[in-house]
Amino acid sequence: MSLSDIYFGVDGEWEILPEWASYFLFLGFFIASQPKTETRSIIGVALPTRAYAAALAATGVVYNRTVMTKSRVEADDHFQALCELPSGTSITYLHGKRNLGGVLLGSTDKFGEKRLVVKTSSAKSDNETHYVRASDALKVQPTTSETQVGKPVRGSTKRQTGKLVAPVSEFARALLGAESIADFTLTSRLECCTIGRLSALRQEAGETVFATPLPSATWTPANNDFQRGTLQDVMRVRKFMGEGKAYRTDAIAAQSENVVTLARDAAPHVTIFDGSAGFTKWRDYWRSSHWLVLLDSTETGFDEATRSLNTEYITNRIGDVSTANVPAPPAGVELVFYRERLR
Amino acid sequence: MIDTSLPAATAIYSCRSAVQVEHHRLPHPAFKEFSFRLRTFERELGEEVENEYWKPFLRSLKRYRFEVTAAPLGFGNPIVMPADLLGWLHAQLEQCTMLYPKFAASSRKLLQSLDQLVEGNDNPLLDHISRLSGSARRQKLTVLLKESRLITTFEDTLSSRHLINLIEVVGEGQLRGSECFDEIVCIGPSRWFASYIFSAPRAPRIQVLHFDWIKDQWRDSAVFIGSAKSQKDSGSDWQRIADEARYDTEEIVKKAAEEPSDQLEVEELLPILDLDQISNRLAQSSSVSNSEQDEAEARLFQLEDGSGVFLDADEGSSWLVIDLGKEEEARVKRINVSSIEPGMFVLLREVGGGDYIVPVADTILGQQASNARGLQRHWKSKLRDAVQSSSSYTVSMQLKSHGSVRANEGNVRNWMSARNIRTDDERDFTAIMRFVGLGEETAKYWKNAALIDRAHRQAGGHIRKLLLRQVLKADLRDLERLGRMRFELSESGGGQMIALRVVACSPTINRMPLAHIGRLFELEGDVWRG
Repeated sequence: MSLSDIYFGVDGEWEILPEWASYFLFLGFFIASQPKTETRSIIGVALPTRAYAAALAATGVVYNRTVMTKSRVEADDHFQALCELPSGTSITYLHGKRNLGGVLLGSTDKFGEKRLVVKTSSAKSDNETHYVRASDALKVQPTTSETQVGKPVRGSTKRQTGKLVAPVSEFARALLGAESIADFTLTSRLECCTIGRLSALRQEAGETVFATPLPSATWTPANNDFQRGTLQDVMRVRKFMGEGKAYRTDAIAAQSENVVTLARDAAPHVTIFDGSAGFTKWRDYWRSSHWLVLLDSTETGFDEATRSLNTEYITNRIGDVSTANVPAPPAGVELVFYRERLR
Repeated sequence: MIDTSLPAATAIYSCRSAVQVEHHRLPHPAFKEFSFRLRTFERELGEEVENEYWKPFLRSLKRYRFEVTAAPLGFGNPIVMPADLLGWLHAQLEQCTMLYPKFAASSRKLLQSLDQLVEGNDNPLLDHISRLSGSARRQKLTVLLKESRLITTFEDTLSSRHLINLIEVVGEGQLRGSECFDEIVCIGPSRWFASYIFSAPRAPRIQVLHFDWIKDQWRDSAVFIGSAKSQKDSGSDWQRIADEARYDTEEIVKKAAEEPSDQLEVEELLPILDLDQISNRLAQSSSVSNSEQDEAEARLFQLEDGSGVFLDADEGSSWLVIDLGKEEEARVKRINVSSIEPGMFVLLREVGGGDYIVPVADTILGQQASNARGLQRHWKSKLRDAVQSSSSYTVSMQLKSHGSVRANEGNVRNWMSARNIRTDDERDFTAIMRFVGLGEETAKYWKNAALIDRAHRQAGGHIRKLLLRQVLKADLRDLERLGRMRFELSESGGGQMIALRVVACSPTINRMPLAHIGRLFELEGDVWRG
């Protein structure tokens, strides 16, 4: 399920997310996808209201880090497994929209990187050879191997132990994919940290119902063929969950006195400054992550925060970055995007 | 309850993407004549502007010019031009003929213009709004006034014209929230208002209503240096400016170049306030002999209703504020005075002023209050007497010889001050007791100071809790709209408190007598000097 297929409940009906709201999902997704080796990315946005921007962006961050990262890791593992299969193994290869039958011939380094060599045949063309990159490895599936189906353990007398798992909503399951859910509910990973107004974030993340339509259903906005949940189901904000639950996001109040301690212990992939106060006061402690700086024009500290971000831009920006891939902001929303060296 | 729902946020984004700002420049030859005569007269006065004879004269007229520009009130509205003020102005004119004959003719002409305005009692801003409110609308027409203090007066005018049900009057603070309107009419030039009124608009259509002799244009400027918008702005990016009809970029630039010289700059009409200068002047005038006895570092704040207040700015001093931008539980709290910013509301005792903690602490102390305060005053007066008869330096040296560990001139001044309850270190307190001849009763005095200290802490927490409860129950729209609100703390002994919005803070700190701290005073005399 993609980020563009999200609905929200209003007056008993489902409505597709408005453009501005989708924008923040994609902005979160975008900044999470940015490389962070020697440099990091900073995006500043001037908004007419702070409402939902941080919650939606954090959802986009977690979505990216859960679905996309997992796909990359899976593809790499799968590629290695395919490389080790004997030449002549029967496979299927997803080529465009068609799943072609064929054989795996092995791997080659002749393109400056390791690629799989796959020979397919179809009604239109016989014996076509494809050189498949590691990132596309999941398109190649062996047909000879049988899926191992694990049998349920019955009558085991061994005492079951484990940790309490926060249940996952159908919304989160549909959005992130069933295969991600086990890791998602069991493993804590700080992908994102928001610094701003906790009560507003708590309400936005936990009280508004979002949904994705069931894939097969023919639906109308009023029907019930939707998988429901909240943004919190995806964000999994540590502060809003019970102790010991697997989290993906943390939220800190801008007026908290513990920010320095929390920053020392946390290294999120993305820090979202939800408003000017947190950015003006605490930005120096979060320089190891990407920044998404969301500034509400109506805030008292807006001018000071924009001045600070402009100073950051002048002082720390390295080179020019292409804004071609940055999601285009809604009309009237101003955005700045640059990169700086990691410190 | 969510502050701003998704549909409400969608409405805000829609307003932002669709906003059209239109300027309506309304003519009024008589008011223009008055305004320019006032400017000419002020220039003619030259250095005499600072003369105590002319200062109040000019101040009254400038205030009048501003208020009838900032609110759609009749030119003869008695709130902006009371009959006794008009009479006083004419009396000044009579004297002027004898005292300053060279200014008599021009001041007479000026007052003739004023008389004509007051007598006519019309105002094209009001007529324009009446017409707008009459057209078919789904919602009330929303009128934004720059000065919250004029809202009630304007509402009275609307009531008298039977328009109050058709028009909603708002202050700037209300346009930060989630509510959107059909159309907002700003009274006065756009540069008078915070930029978010136009950059984060709460209506898809904004009309800026002002007199045609005021120079004004709104520019939708970029805020980030590196944004795509700032690249576009580097040229002449005059955007969405309209003057009944919309101009394209070239026309606007051309129009700006051809700006007629008979226009007043927006800034010329605004009240000018040099808080630094006022703070320095008041500090000098209130410096008295023996002032070191009861002075404290203080910062001057300009408040919403034209008043000012000095707040204790000594290191570690804090004051109770309401900050509507904070989480509910943190909205009422004591913060360091250096952290108080425009937009926050400071809480002050309405009657008597001064420290609001003391009366509540006395209620907590109950019957012990009188005796406890008496004992405090006793040792402090002895210490003060000693400083008066020698110096704080000499006393600090003597305290050291009695075993004090932190005695120095500053600390001695602090210890003898009424706002300080006791020393941090008991050894310093013991030294003071020995020095003032109360050595044998040290334990009693120390215990007494601890009792007062505890009562003050309890009082602070209690007041905060009571206020928070009231703030959570209060209609914060009114607080935002009017910039002031009263809170009743009588049950706790705190009396009535008033929250006033901070408009500006003085960057400098001066030593002020303790009695002046936390007490409201009128800044009026200083506001209209410019």
